[in-house]
Amino acid sequence: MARMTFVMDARRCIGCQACTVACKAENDVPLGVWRTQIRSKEVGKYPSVRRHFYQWICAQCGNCVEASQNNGVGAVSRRADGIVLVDYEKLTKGRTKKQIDTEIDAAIEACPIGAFSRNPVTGMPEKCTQCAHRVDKGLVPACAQTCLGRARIYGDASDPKSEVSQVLGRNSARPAPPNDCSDPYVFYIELEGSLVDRGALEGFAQVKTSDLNSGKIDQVVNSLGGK
Amino acid sequence: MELTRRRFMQLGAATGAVLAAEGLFSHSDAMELELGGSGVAVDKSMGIDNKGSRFDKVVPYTCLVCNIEDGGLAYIKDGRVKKLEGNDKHVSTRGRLCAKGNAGIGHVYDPDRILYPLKRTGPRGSGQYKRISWDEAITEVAGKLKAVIDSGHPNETMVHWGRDRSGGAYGRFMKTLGTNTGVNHTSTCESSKKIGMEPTWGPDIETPDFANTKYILNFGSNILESAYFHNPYAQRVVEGTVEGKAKLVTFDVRLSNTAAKSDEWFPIFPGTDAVVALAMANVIMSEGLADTDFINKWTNYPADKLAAYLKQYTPEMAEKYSGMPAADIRRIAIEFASVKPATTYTYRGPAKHLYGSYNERCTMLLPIITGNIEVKGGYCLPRGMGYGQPGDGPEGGKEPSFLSSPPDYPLAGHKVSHLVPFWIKEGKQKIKVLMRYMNSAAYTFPAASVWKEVQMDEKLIPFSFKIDNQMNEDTALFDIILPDCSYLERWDPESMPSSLWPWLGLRQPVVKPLGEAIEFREICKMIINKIDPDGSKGMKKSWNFKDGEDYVKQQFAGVKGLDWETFKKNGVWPIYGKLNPATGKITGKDGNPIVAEFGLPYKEDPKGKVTVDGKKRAGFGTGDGKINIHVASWEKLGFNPLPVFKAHPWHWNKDGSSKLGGGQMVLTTFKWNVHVQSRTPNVKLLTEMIHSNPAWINAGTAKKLGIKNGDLIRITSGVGYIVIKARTTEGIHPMVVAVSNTLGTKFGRFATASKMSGTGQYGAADDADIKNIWWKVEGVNPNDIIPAVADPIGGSATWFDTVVKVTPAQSGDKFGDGKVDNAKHVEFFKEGMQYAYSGSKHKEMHPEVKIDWDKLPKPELKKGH
Repeated sequence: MARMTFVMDARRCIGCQACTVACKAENDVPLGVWRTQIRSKEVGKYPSVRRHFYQWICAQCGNCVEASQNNGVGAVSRRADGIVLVDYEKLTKGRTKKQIDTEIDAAIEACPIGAFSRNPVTGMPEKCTQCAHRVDKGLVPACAQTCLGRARIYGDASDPKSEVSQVLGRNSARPAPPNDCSDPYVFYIELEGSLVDRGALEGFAQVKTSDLNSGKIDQVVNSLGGK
Repeated sequence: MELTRRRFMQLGAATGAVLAAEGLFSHSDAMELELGGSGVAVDKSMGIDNKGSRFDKVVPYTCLVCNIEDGGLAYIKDGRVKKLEGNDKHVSTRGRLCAKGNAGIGHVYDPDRILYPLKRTGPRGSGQYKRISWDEAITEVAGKLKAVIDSGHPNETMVHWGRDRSGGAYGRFMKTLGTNTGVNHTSTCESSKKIGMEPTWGPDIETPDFANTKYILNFGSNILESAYFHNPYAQRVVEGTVEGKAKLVTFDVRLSNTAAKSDEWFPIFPGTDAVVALAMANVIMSEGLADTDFINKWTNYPADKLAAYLKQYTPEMAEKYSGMPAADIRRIAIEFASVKPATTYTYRGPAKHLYGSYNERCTMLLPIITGNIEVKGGYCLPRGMGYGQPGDGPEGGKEPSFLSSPPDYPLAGHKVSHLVPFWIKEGKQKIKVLMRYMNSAAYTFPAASVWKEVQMDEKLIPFSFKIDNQMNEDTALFDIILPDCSYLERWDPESMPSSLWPWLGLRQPVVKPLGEAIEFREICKMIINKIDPDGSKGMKKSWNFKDGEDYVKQQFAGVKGLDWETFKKNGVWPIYGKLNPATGKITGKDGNPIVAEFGLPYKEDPKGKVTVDGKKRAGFGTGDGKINIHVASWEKLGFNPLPVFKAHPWHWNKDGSSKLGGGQMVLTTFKWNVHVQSRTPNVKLLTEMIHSNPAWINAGTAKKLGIKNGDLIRITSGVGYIVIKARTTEGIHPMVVAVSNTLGTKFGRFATASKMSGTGQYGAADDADIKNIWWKVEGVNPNDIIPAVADPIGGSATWFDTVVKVTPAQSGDKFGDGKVDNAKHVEFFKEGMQYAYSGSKHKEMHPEVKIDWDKLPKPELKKGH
């Protein structure tokens, strides 16, 4: 059984944001929401200062799947290879608006890293699909394809010959923070410890049903220009 | 305060409603890497019918958002570009694009793009234009150009280009018109680096073998974010540092992402790279770590003499100026010289100072004296590859041009473009027609306000036209605007020394030009045909090509082994191997990563001009084939022929004490990793990420000045001030304030966060995302308050020398306020020219140069340099 896994190598990430843009271009993600993003944090006192980068992305941990199943609609599920996807037909066909809203909000609330959102244009769930449409063709996700530093290694961790398996075998990698991602498929090499707190994860807000209703969304890009 | 971060969404009646699921993937097309894109895969579990989402074709192209020229593949559906990806056949960029390249579609479908010719209807600068036909536009432009030719003073047409990649079309155009008044933008870029390097070893740039090196000393290059050559070099720096465990040390006044990823960051005082490099060279020579054999055989200066010369540059002296502890200078010098192979790298950091050319030569000394030149993992020569020009080229004008070859800067072979408006004001050369292409000087140059003043003045510039597709602070000053193609709609020949394997690239239209856009060389042809309809003036014959493809095809006709149709299909030539997706490296026929050739100048060559170890060898591109540590031609003009440090007289007293006090600091500019200067702010995916450019100021300094993060501050230079927000950070030198030069335009809906939907003012289609703009733009451009001064040797603008005072904003100051006094700009320009070899301060700055100062050659107007 395939286990499609991302290894994010923080040593190789230069914070260039090629992944962020490639993802939006590939998946036509509208302004205001993201499926992946490079977040940065400066630590230290002059002149001993560092800037660390965090490759923020859905950990495919399955918390939203569980919430969706418990909610009753069960539109979010894990594929055999591990990718967590939304079945839009199951979500919408014959459902009331309230059922749909409850289903999406349950998934949004269940996500520990804010990687599940509502698309402000379509109102539909917005999350990383690991570019499943590409993966099924034997291609890597768009973010990994363009990554200048090759800091995003993608592949089948159940295949010992895959690069992902080899990288995982050679390095100490750990799941994305925080610990309540229940069954993550994304691992990090040398992710700076200070990025593991929730504060650093508050890059941008999830777009929730209440936000769509009020028409007001807090939005922050954790870039050097913004904060 | 949080209001600034809020987005007010306009979902209208649909608040909270769920749109049709089919809408989700209506634009979302999956990509295939194979050329020809036969189709895409769709995740069936999503339950969405994706019929119709197949691509019609995939067209390779060469990127031109910045100047790195990455190889790309454009995926096309129904005549529209749907996605851009890296070209996996490209030996340099290996299938990857940076953030700017990935967002490149925004240059084609810019909702504010100019799609038809425009003629000014109101006063200059009023922004009032009307749409005119191409015929009307060409008739007017050709009429003005013809009048200049007929007057017998063809130099009164000034051609000003910038990021031109036409492969010589502008030169052909100038020659056809008979004008030598060609002005570029290189002095705003790295020209002093080039001028430092050329007499030293031939070429104007180095190609370090980052992937195989063990030690990198990076002087002021932000290679992981921008600059030459961001994408390909970032790839190899990561390979070198992570896979090869190379050490990366960066000298920069600001904690760039490159500095942040370095093992050590030394924030030295602006413009002191030279003294740090010379002190390190001194340590290396004194410690016996230099490769004296290499110095004696391959340079024109003996090792013992060099060692003696360098003795004056002690680490303690370097510490005094740079602030880098002497112990660190010793330690880093010894590390650098003890680890092989090692390399340095520089870009604009050392070059953009008063004596930038000296600075470059000082840093270059380090790989030279350690024998790291042209070895695997070392500091290598650029691998260029050339192409030709179509036949029947025009002869060109005979009259020399002051503006193109300013007599006071005889060594500045890449021109001194940023001083040109001052010389026009002084009447050094009369201009009747100004033509501009791929350049926005009145916005992007230092002393931009002076360009604006000159361009607004109909006496100084009676007629002006611009070839561009973006309305901005500069474009809005022109009389006629001719709509240029975007980089994805036109032909250009390409080559860049961005890897150790030379390559030729092709820029070709991936879609038909939108609206009435026409590419540059075809516009030139239309103009020439209008001036010389029957060919009787002898001009038309030089523009005898069918279209852009025909012209560029002729340029490659002489390249042995290059087949045009195959080239068009691949976008790049030669193909060295196949990209291995597991390693990101190019694999050759033998299944191993391809290996570059090294030691080019050392190869035996019977026609070589240098003899080393009893054999004739290819040598370096200098007069004697050796590396010229000593440059005799500079001494004739009173410049120091050896690498030397000159403390900037704005920053330092003669006794080496600092001149700066009372809140004075040095202003520096920089580029974000998601922007270039003027062409990206209206690209939505980039501006969504960076839409404000606060002034970076050291947290400790800010505290002393009573400035908190987010406060409004005034930055006041000798010519004016700007009001901007402060970003307090630990990541900047305490005496430096940094403002990016990207943001601050008043044009473009994404660039200004204007949510007015609808068709663009100049014919472009609406972008549905305009209503989703959630950010507030906070941009201030610092160029107006940066005086225009030139390096007397290399001619480069001294961007990073400006002395400013930083204070909390005054009462009544609003964000974005500013004031500039062009009369003060003129004073600075005049002072700056006193450092030229013909100026009053030249001798005073060079007491160590022993020549007959009374016999300096007189400035002379010559054609070319």
